Amino acid sequence: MARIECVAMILAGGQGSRLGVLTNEVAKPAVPFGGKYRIIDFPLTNCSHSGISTVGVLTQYQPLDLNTYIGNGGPWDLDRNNGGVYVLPPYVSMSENKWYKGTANAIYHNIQFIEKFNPKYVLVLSGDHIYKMDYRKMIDFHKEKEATATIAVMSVPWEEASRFGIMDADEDGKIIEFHEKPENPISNQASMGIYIFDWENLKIVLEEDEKDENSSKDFGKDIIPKMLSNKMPMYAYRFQGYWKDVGTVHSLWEANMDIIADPPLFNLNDSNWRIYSRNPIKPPHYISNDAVITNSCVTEGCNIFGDVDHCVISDGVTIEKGAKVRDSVIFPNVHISSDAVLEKVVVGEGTVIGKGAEIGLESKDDNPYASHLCTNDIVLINGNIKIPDGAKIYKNSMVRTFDIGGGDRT
Amino acid sequence: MTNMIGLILSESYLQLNGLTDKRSVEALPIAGRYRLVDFMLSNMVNSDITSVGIVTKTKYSSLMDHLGSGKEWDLNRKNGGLHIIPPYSGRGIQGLSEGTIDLIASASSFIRRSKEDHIILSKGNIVANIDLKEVEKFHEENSADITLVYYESKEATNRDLGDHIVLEVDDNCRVRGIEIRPIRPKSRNVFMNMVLMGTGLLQYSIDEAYARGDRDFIRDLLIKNLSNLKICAYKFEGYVGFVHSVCTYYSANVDMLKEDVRREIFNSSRPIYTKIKDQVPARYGSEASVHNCLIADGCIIQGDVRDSIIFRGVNIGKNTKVSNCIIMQDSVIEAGCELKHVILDKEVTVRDGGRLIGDLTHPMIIDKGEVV
Repeated sequence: MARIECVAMILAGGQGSRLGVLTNEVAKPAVPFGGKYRIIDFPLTNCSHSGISTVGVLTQYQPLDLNTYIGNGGPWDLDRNNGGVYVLPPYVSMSENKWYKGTANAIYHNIQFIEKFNPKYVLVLSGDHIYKMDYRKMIDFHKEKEATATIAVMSVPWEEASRFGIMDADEDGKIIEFHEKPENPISNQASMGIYIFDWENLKIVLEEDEKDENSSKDFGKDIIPKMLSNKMPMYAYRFQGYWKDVGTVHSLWEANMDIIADPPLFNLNDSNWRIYSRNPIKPPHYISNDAVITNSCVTEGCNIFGDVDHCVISDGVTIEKGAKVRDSVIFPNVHISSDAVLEKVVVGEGTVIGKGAEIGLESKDDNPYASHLCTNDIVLINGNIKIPDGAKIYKNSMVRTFDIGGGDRT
Repeated sequence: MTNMIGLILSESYLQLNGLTDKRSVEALPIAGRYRLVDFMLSNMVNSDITSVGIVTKTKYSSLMDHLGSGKEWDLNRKNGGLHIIPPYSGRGIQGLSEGTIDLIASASSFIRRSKEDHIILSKGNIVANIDLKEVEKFHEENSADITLVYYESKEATNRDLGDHIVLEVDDNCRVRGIEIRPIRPKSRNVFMNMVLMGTGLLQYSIDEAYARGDRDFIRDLLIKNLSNLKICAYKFEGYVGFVHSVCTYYSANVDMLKEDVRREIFNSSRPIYTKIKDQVPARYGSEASVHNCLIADGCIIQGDVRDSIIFRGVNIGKNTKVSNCIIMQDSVIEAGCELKHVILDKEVTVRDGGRLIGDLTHPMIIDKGEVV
């Protein structure tokens, strides 16, 4: 097989437990985003536009949806004769059950896969970030600096720095110190979870780390510090642009709102960097005579008869006459019945909201659906459930099944 | 499973003013994100037909660009798949083929290579969602030699019928008469230009007709054989939108604003496939006001839009009023404009304050790429 310069490995095994009911049945990278995308579309699209055509997607938790979604990789132009996209679940070998113990362990178990392509570089990506990035520029930087590893970083607000892996680099970009989630950050340059490694060196470090019983087998916690202490040349590549980890209900909601801001904080309408996805086979959407629609985005297969302001509406959604939907993110194939009122709600795929239901009402103390996962007044409704006519749901709630339960108690 | 192949014949003599200057009628953009041919092609694919030929005649580059390898219709196959048959490919044809028989003859190697027993011949200028498996079942149940598909047009005037081929059908579904663009039509049964017949019979009939110098499929093959062959007619009950003029093009588009038509045509169990463009969802601005419109992905709408069909990637500026219009892909209507009864072809720009008013019976057409 022809040698491939760079193989990308996307870590898509995360459970995404902070997304609550959204990741009950699907892995986080398969969660819908922005009306017609799924989170994994962003790294896959970036790979495709960056000319990286050999991509391994490491799955583990609830992989079925992700597997069928990725398929042969055609939508991302990754159905190739040489290379292409491969879904790599953990497997059982003669000697052991290779369940991925950490991000580094996941790559370790796929050494054979990477070796098949004999690459010079391996690009390690996360399957749950929203951003547009040309990895070619980062690879050029890596080559120019003759680095063993290059880590993409961006400036974050100082007060949030302790949530990230923080890098201290010299003027040339050479990393001096790295601290995973430090209490007292020494800089505000945060790791974006995007790494380029020289494959030869990474392989050695992965093999050593595997033998280390005290290691948690994680890139941020183990591999990067080990490489640093081995005095391997590591560089920080500064990224400027929009990047968001959509790990929480609030950040997922916020990232959706960012695309409908005026002007958009994150612009998806870029003809030079179109976001690829498995497009639904649906007609253009219909806006009826009675509808009012402003500050929103709507996609194919929707039928809008109600009043929609400041929302992201995914494909196949119906909003009946008299319904009022504000500041909400509606996932595919949701049906919102007449006169329902929704404010700041994330509604999971295929759910039916009954007539006159009121969701997002002012908080009350004994809210049965209260959840610590739903903050900033957001309500999260599970997919494929029915919210009965006239139901009342208060702010900061998570509804798993109406009347049976939700919130933190279930 | 079906035992059919499909053959779509280009309708190249139709002229729809500027709309068909650079493209054949099958390649006309329609219903916000489709090309006319998508409907017949999807009907074939949804009826489990995996081998489809499209016979082109002139101005076919737009059509070829749209169809590509046939991937979006699931027709990039090892066996069968999509075959685009260019003109000049028939035996002994020196110039451009002239009649339907020439068109079919140019596909004879495609027909001869197929192993299926039946062939569906169709034109590509019809909007309908039809299950061709039902037609095949009807054909077999009636032991027909040839089955023609028609619909009953109750509201059509004699003048409307004068644009069509009208069938006289008896109680046993046998075709007793065929009238081509009649002045005094004997029935309201409009032939949908869809024919199902044996592959072998078609091949034989075309060979014979060709040898005789016959050119026209309807006159020479159907009408002359009404008593020799068992020609039956299958009645289709659903929505039919024929596109053969600017007016019918306009009405086939705005018919999609009717909920029942939309529901039938875009029936999710028999979806209409088209080329994927990876456009973003449409965005509505703070001053947008949209009523009774079909809007495709990639649009940015900031003005007032009513009773219109807006294709992918259209930009409508602030304080602009658009009503009863068909705005094709990537057109830009800047701020403060007024458009009524207008068809904008692809990539048209209407500058600030532009005013374009057409009439329902004669919509104003602005050609592709123009700046107004």
